[in-house]
Amino acid sequence: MTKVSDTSSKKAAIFAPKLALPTPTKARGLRLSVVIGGLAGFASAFLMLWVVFFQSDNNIAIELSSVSATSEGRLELQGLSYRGKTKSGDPYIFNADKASEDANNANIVHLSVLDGEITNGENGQITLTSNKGQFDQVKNFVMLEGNVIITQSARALTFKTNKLDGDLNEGNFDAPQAVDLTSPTSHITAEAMRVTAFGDRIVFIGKSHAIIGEDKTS
Amino acid sequence: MKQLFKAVTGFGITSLGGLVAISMSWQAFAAPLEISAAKELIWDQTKGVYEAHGDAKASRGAQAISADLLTAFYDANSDSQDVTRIIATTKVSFEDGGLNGSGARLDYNVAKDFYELDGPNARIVSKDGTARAQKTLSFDRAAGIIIADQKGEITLADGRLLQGDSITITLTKAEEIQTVTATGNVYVRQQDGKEAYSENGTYDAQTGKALLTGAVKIIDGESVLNGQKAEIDFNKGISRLLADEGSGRVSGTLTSSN
Repeated sequence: MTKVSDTSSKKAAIFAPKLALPTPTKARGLRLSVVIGGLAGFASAFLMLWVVFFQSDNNIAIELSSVSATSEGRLELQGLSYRGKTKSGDPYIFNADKASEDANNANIVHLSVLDGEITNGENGQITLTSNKGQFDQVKNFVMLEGNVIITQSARALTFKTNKLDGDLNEGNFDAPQAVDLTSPTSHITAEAMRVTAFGDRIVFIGKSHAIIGEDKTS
Repeated sequence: MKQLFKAVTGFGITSLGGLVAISMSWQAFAAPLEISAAKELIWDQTKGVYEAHGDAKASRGAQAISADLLTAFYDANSDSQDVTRIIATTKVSFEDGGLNGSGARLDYNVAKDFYELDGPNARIVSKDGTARAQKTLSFDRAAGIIIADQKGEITLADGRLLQGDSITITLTKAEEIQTVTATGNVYVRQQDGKEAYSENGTYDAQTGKALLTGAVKIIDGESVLNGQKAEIDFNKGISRLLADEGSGRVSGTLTSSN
């Protein structure tokens, strides 16, 4: 069952004023009916988002610091924390400075300056950070872009790339661009990468180079 | 004949001297292992395996193994994850200091320090010559043994040749040649064409003595000598062709060069 965290008490003070925040300079010159209409539209959109979250079957919980509407009428969430579970029950959390729903697919949320964490059994904590990304909360699918960094605690792995798509349910990730992996015992670079089962098996695609073992000559 | 024997037994010593260089162990280099691939590199962390596909190469220091496919194994449960074994298949070649080699498959056990190069046409080349085997060329560095299996052959750069069904070289702890043993259809040819056949042949570097046994035949031009056993002492410069104990005879045909 999806739940939305209770932000009404703690966040209301922040949330409520920002309902009227969109384009305040323009709002001064608008008629009351237009303002009310805008508020109604915003409330509807927020309700739609709420329903989307509510209808999903991922036990998703959302915390956010504020909500506003863009000039296009889309919701923009600030200080978002997005908690859920994968199909296998692995808990995850995504934090983003900003989030907005996709114009064509309300299941997809666009995230800015995000970080996330998944806890997956023997693989431990998997963290993800990037400059921006998308999250499909129905499919548990992420698309990260810009300074993407993934870490896996169990094997102390760190992946760096610029673009990465990931299936949180299966723990499969595809990086179509150059990747750089470091671990306590290796450093691997490649033109692209495919990760399965949160790193149990990694296929480095194209020209690949691995340095394995510590340099004991120095 | 004395010269022939000297040439025959001296052959193994000289040629195998080059092979000793292979004892430069992969482990002897403390530098990290590098693996590269043109197509893809697969890292299976649950199995503890790296697979390098396409123009694959594994190198450490002066050592390198190349093949279409390289598979490197390590203990997935160990902290160090040091590679313990490398298997190379298809278009296999390797370099090790002044040595290089090729074959259909190479299995290098890092933990045991053991090279196994499979044929057909497995070969190891040094500046002194080339060792070949149709089946397997192996070097057990821990035991100090080099074996060329099935039609083993060593060719020196100057043309001298030693063949046998199996050729075994044992090394001292200092990795100097201790003994050379050739078994089955032993054939020796030196660069001037002199030849010798026997069933078995051994050389002991400690005593400086060599022994050819079993249906020994020495051919020098049109001269042919037959015996059951041939001994040579390099230190004393003495060589003997001995008869079989049963027959008590040495036979041969000596033909003048004129």
